[in-house]
Amino acid sequence: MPILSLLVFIPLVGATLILFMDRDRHRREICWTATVFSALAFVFSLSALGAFEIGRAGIQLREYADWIDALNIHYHLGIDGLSLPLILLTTLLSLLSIIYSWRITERIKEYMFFFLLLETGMLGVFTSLDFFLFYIFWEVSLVPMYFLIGIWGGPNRQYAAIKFFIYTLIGSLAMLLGILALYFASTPHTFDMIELARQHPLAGAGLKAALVFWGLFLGFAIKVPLFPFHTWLPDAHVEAPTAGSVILAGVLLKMGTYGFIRVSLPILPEASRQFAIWIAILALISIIYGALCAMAQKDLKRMIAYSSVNHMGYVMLGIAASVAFVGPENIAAAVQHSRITALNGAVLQMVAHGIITGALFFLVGVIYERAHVREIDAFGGLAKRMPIYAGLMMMASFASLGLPGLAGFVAEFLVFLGAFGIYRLITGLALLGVAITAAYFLWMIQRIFLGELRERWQNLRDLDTGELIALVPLAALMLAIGVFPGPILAIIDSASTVLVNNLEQFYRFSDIITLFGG
Amino acid sequence: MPYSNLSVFAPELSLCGLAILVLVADLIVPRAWRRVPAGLAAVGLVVPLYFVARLWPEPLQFEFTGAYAIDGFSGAFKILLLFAAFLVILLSFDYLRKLQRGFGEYFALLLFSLTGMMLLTGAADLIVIYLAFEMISLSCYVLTGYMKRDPRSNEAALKYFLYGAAASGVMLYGISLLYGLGGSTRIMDIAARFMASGPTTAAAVEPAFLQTALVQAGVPELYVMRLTGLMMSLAVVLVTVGLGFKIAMVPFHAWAPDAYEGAPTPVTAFLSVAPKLAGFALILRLLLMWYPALLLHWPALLASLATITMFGGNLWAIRQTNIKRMLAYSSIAHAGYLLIGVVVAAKDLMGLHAIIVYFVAYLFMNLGAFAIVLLVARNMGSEEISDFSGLYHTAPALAAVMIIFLLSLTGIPPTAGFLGKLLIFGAAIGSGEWAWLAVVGIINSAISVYYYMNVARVMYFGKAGRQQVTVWPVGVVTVTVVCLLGTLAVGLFPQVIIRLIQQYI
Repeated sequence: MPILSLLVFIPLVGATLILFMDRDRHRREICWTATVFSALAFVFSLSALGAFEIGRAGIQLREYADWIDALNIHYHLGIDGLSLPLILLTTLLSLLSIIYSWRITERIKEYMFFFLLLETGMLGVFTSLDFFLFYIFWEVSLVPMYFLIGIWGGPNRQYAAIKFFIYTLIGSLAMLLGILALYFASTPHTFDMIELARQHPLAGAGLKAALVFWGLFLGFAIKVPLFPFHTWLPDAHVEAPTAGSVILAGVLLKMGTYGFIRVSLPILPEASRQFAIWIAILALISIIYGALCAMAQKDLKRMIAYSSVNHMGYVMLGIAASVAFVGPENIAAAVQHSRITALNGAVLQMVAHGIITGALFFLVGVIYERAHVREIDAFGGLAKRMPIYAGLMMMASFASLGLPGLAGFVAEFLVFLGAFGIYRLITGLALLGVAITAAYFLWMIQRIFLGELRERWQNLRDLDTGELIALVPLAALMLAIGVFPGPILAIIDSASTVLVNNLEQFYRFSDIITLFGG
Repeated sequence: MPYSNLSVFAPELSLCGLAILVLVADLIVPRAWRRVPAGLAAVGLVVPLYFVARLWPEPLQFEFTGAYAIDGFSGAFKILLLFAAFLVILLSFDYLRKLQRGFGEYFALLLFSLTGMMLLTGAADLIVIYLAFEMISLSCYVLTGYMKRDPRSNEAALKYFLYGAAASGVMLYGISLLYGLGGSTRIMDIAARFMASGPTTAAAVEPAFLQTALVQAGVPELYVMRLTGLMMSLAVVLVTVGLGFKIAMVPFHAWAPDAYEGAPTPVTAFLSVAPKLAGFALILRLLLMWYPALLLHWPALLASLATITMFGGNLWAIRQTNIKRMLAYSSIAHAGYLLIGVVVAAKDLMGLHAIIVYFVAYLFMNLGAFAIVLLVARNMGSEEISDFSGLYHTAPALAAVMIIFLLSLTGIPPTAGFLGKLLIFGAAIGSGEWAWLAVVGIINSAISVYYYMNVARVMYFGKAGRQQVTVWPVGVVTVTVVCLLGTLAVGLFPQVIIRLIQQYI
C-alpha cells in the first residue's frame, strides 16, 4: 500500500470534497469533513511510523514512478528518521488546529479548504525526494498561508500577508535557481535528491558551488527564519489567525531547517563545511537578538513570535556544528560523536519547538478570544480565575525556556552538548540566550498570572472542551519527550548518524584527492 | 519547378479563403443570423489546422526558391496562432453584441491579420517578411479602433498606427540595407554570403551592389570592409527595432499600454498573444539562420533588451489601476522572459523548446485572465482593478479561477506558467554563459508577485460592491474553462507536451 501517497494526498481529497459543499448550509459537514480527513492523515502517519523500521539506515517506504521522463523528473517519495518525526508533527498539529478552528465563524468553507491544502503541501515537502516535486509542494504550502493570514488575520493582515508572500517567494525563487544549477551540474541531469547527494555535482567547483549554496541558503534561511531574514515573521505571526500561527511556527518554519539538513548538507558538503561558521554566527545572532526582542515585546503573541527566532537559532546552531570544520581532529571519534549529538538535538528541537510553540500560540489564541487584548501588562492574577489555563501556559512556558523534564530541555541540551565540542565560544555565548529566554517567560508569567486579578477579568472562562482537545495532547507530548526521549531519538539518530558518516566519508575522500594533487 | 508547390501555402490560402467567405456570408445572411458567419470563422479554422498538420515536414524545407520555409517550429507557432485565434473569436461574440454594423467584418479582419502572422512564421525572404508585417499591422490597427464611438478606442488605434507606421519605416530601412549588403532578399542567400566558409550559392558569388557602389566611388578596399560591417550592424539594429515594436519590447513598447487599454478587450487579448507569437517566430528564424555568421552580437543585444524589458514591464505594471493596462505591462514582461529563451536558442535547441512551452503556457494563462476580465467588465461595467473588489463574495468560482491564472502568470507551481519559467530559466542556467539572465528573470518574477497578488488581494480581502455577476456569456465561459484546464494540465502533466516538442521540432 502506498502509505506515503495516501498520507500526502488524503487532505487534498478532503479539500476537494469541501469545494462541493455549500458554505452556509453545510457548516457542520464542512467542519466534520476537514476533521475526518486530517484525522485520516494522522492515522496514515501513524501507520507510516508502524511500517518504519527504526534503526535501519537510509530511505524507507520509498515510492517511485515515472512522471516527466523528458526532463528526468520522477514521482519519488520516501522517509527516513529525519522526516518521519516532522511528518507526525505536521499531521498532529494540523488535526489539532482543525479541531480548534471549529469556532471560526467567517468563511469556514474556504478556511478548511486552505487548511487541508496547506497540510498536503507540508506533508509533500517532508516526503518528496525529487526536487521538482519538492518545489511544487513547497510553493503549494505558501499560497494557502497567504490567504489564511490575509482573510482571517488581525487588523493589519493584508500587509502581513503580502509581506509573508513576497519574502518567502524571493527565497523559494533563489532556491529554484540553485536547484536548476544542481540539475545542470549533474550527469545525467537529475532532480533526484538522493542521486544528487550521491553525485555531489558541484564538488570542487569553488565559486559556483558557493553561489548555489547561498541560493539555497536564502530559500531556507528566510523560511527558518535566520537573522537578518526574520522580519516577516513577527508580522505574519501577529496577524495570522490562531491556528495559522500554530502551523506557521509549528511546521512551516521547520521546512527551512529541514531543507538545510535534507538538501544543503548532503548535496553540497564542501560549501556547507566552508560556510558553516557563518551559519553558526547568524544562528548565534538569531538566538541572542531573538531573545532580547522577545523580552522587549508588550504583545504576548509578538513575544512568542520572537521566541521562535530564538529557538530556531538553536536548530541552526546544531546544524552548523554538524558539518563545521574543526581542524586536524576533524575525524576524531569524539568530534564525530559531537556532530551526531548536535544534529540529533537540532532535529529534536524542531519537533519540540513545534509542539511547544504550537501550544503557546493556541494559548495566546484562547486568551485573545476572551479578552480581545494581548498586552501582557493588561492582565494580572489570572491564575485564580483560570487555573487550568494558567497551568498549561506555565507548562508550555517552562518547556520553552528549557526546564528539565520537558521536551525543550532535552533538545536544547543535546544541541549545546554537541555544539560545545565544535564551537566552544559561540555555544558559550548562545547559552546567554537560554538565560534571557528564562527571564522573559518568567516575567510574562508573573505579569499575567500572578498578582491582583483585575476587575475587568472577573468573568473570564477557563478552557472549554475544544481548546482542551487541542492542548492536552501537546502538553502530554512535552512531558513524554521530556521524560522519555529514547524512542524519538532512536528514530532521529539513525538518520543523523548516516548523514554525518556520509559527510565524513566524503571529506576524507576529497582530502585524499587534495593530498595527491587533485 | 520553383513555383510548382503551391500546396505549402495551403494553410494561409485556406485561411484567406475563410476570411473572404466570412465577409461574403456576412453580406448575404440576414441580421438576425449574423452569428452564423462568426461561427463559420471559428469552425473554419479547422481547415488551415488540418493543412498545417499535413504539411508537417521532417527536416527544414524551403519553397518558392527559398522565400518560404516550413519546418517544425513554424508549424508549432502556426498551431498556437490558430488556437489563440479560435479562443479570441469565442471571446468576441458577446463583446460585439451591441455593434450595429460590421459584426462579420470584425472576424474577417481577425482572420486576415492571422493570415499575416501565419505567413510571418514561415517567411524566409525580406519582402515576404515585410508584407506579412504590414498585413498583420493594418488589420490590427483597424481592430484596435473597432469601437468607433469610443474615444479611447480611437485614440488607441491612432497611437498604435503612428508608432506602427514609424516602426515599419525603420524596419524597411533596415531591410533595404540588408538587401544592399546581402545582394539578395532571400535570408538564405544573405546568410551564405556572410558565412565564414565563403559563398556557397550562385547569388552570393558576386559582390552586392552596396559594396560595388562603394568600390566604384573610390573607397579603399579596407574601408569597404569596415563600412560594410558597420552598415550591417546598423541594419540589424533597425530590424530589431521593428521587431521590438511588434513584440512590445522595452523601449519600443510605448504603444502597447494605450492600445491595450483602448482596444476592445477581445482584441487586446489577441494583441497580447498573437503578434508576439509571430514576432518571436521571425526573431527565431533570423537567429537560427544567421547566427553566428551575421548576428554574432545579436544575442548580447537581445539579452540586454530582455533585461530592460523584464524590469520595465514589471515595474510599470505595479502602479496600474486598470487591469487591461496592467496585463499590457505584464505581457511586456513576459516578452522579456521569452527573450531569454531566444538568447539561449542561438546555440542551444533547449532555448527553442522552452520558448514554445512558454508560449503554450502564456496562451492559456493570459487568454484565461482576459476571459475573466471580460466577464467582470460585462457585469461590473468597467475594467478597473477596483471592480474586482470582493469578487470572491459575489462570484467565488470566478475569483478562484482568476487566482490560478494569476499564480500561473507569476510562475508558481503546479501551473503551466511555472513549467514555462522553469524551462526558460533552466535553459539559461544550462547554457552557463547566460546564467545571469536567469537571475534577472527570478528577480523579476519576485517583483511581479506584487501586482499579480494585488489583484488576488482585492478579490479576496476587499469589500464586495453592490453589483452581482449575473451574465455568463457562453463563449467567454468556454474559453475560461479551456484555459483553466490547459493551465493545470500543462503544469501537472507536462510530459506530453515536452515529448511532442522534442519529437517534432
